Amino acid sequence: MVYYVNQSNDPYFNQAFEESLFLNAPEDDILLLWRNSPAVVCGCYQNPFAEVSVPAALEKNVAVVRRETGGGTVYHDPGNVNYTRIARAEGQGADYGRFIRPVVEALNRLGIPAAFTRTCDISIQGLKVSGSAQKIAGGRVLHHGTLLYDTDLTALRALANGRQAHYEAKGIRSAPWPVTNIRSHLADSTMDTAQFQQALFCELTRGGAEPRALTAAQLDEVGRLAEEKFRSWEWTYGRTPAFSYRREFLWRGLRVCAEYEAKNAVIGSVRLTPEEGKLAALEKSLAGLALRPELLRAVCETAGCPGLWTFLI
Amino acid sequence: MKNELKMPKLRPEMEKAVLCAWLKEPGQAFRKGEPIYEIETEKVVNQIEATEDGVMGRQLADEGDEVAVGAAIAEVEE
Repeated sequence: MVYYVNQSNDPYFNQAFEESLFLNAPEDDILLLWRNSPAVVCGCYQNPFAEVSVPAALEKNVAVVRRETGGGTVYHDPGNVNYTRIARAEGQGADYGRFIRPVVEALNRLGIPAAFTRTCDISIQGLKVSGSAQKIAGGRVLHHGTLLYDTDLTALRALANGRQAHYEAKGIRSAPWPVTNIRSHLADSTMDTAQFQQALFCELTRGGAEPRALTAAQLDEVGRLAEEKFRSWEWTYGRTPAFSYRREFLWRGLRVCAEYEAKNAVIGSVRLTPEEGKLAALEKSLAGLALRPELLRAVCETAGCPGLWTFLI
Repeated sequence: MKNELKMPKLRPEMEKAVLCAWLKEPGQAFRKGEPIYEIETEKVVNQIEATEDGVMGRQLADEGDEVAVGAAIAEVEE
């Protein structure tokens, strides 16, 4: 086993870090342990607008990230430890036990009563502490999972809890499940998240692990991938499957209904009712607009409807 | 020779999957081993590789469609 050291907390850089190793690293038994600053991380083929309260995330300076693997939306913060395994794929289908069992056993040795549950979760007393997802390509598998150790569960519920009711689309929806933090199930909970990560590392690498750091050239490649792909609007929002949106809301005492169709996160046909005054002007400005939060906000302000943008995504 | 691409069964218990993305457009040629589409099932994004050289024909499933195992998803010229 080879362990690549990654101490970055930048969620975009960290996506690029594992993607780059998945595509390019010569080794076929890789372990990563890493943590993110606050971020909501959506599955590869999800609609981030439907999964995440985007205006709330922006206001709280929480990154919105699209990852390469399948599945639903998760919340990361420095109290959550992520593990990644990159290996040769054995067959073409999902094989979760191969990667999850060693993690459960490591947790058990640390005195944590965790169990492998449902398809790809780890739970304590029926409450989820870890979800995982995979990508299989080119004969390799990337498996990664979260481990809620000391995460802000209030922020998790507030942010990774979108506005599904307003969105109609094909594609992949999240399947929320009650969660808990590992720390609250420890007899001795004085261990902080960094210490937990270190203890987990020791348990996962009992059979030995060779530490590696990226070369300068590899680091450049990860930086480029982070900027050009993972931090781009085109990747995070532009890849959203086509959807239609409908929402009724009260705006300055007026009952407003907003409806639009979007493809590649660009508004096509749009209708704001009642069609009068400022709303009629706003409707014209919205047609053809990319769903970039800062653009939506500016267009609403220009039309004399500041704040209305938060009802449009 | 005209042939059909069918949703593969990757595990015994797999019954369906979402066809997430076409990696080849109709009319585009591909070589054996090249990834031609992506599916998602059980939180796994799986890149499916061509088993023969061919040319992508009419696509019978749209991106985002949930497709049963064995159902035709595209026509190909081999």
